[in-house]
Amino acid sequence: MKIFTLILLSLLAFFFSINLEKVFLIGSISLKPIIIFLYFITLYWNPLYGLVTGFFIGFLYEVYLPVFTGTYPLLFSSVVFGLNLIEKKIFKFRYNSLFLLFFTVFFVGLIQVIIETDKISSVSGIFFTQLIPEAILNCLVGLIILYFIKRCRHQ
Amino acid sequence: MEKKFLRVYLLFVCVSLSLLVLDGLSDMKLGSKFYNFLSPNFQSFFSRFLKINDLKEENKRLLEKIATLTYEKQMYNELKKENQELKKIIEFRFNYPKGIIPAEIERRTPEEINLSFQIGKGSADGVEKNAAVISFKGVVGKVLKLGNNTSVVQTLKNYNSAISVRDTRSEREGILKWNKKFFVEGIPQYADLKEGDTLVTSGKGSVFPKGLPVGTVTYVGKKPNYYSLEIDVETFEDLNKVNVVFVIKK
Repeated sequence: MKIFTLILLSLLAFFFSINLEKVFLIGSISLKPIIIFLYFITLYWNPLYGLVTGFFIGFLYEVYLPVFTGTYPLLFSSVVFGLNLIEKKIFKFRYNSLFLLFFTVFFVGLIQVIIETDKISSVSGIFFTQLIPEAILNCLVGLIILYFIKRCRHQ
Repeated sequence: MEKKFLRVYLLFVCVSLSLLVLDGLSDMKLGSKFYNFLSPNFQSFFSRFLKINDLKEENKRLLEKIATLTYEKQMYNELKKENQELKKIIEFRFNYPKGIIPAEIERRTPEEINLSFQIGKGSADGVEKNAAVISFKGVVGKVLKLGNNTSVVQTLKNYNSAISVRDTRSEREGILKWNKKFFVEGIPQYADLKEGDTLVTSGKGSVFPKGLPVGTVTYVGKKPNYYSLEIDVETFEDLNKVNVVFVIKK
């Protein structure tokens, strides 16, 4: 049952990311459902599940993107690995733990820009117009999810 | 658990790096190869989702186009109708050498009892008081009140209305009146009047010229000890539906 739920959630996150990214696009910033999904799976469920799903979603993800094969599996599994390392050093049920999500989204966004943009010089330009607002937007979504997780936990 | 996690992570890193190296060596992206390996149906299934935004845009554009075309069609129909009416007016004017003034009905009283119209032509257009008002089909009424640019027409559907009419077949004359229905007074019981006879204006009085069509006889009856026949009439023009009228110049 757990595996089934995990696969279902992974596919949902993947489809959201692929299909609805344009729908949630505000200017140049967008939601990153995959990162939010991996963040919550790793921190609040099972890090190993996060690692496996991160790898496979990464592989599926780059089928649609013109990048070198292996980039996203490496990126996503490394993100999960990093999150797992930090997990024990933070109070994950406090709202300020969402700073970790902020930095994760920021980091992934930065890597994506480096991978997908030809000119590295343009990275500095989108620092304040894309990466930080995008991280804030994803943190807001994370805040809502964390609120529900906390409620369920109290019940 | 930690060791297992680390081992799995290292395995994934190795696989990813191998894929990256292989991708660098091969001419075609491995991802593309994998994508091409998928069945066409599978691809179209995904592309359907990928194109959802384009379809939404197209749908929006088409809806706007439909709305514009519907509006244009309505406009076209209205113009066609107007054109036909104008044609009829031009043809109709040739029948009246003295001249007629076409006018649109701007307002009409809601009650049927004493129906009157306000038309958009007045003394400035050559309309005179008590001038006869007709439609394409027949007599409508007369000008009761005259303004500079508008006039009030008292229709036949009025208790005060009384016009002299003549039966075209028997040549008998009577007075057409209205009391919730049209009826004719003053034709003796021995007169040869039949249902379906046509009534026209007789030309008596100073308002209506001779020979304007009025209506048809729908009922002829005799009441004992009465001088006149009981005659019901239906006017040619439905006065509740008429939109364009003509004022006959005196």
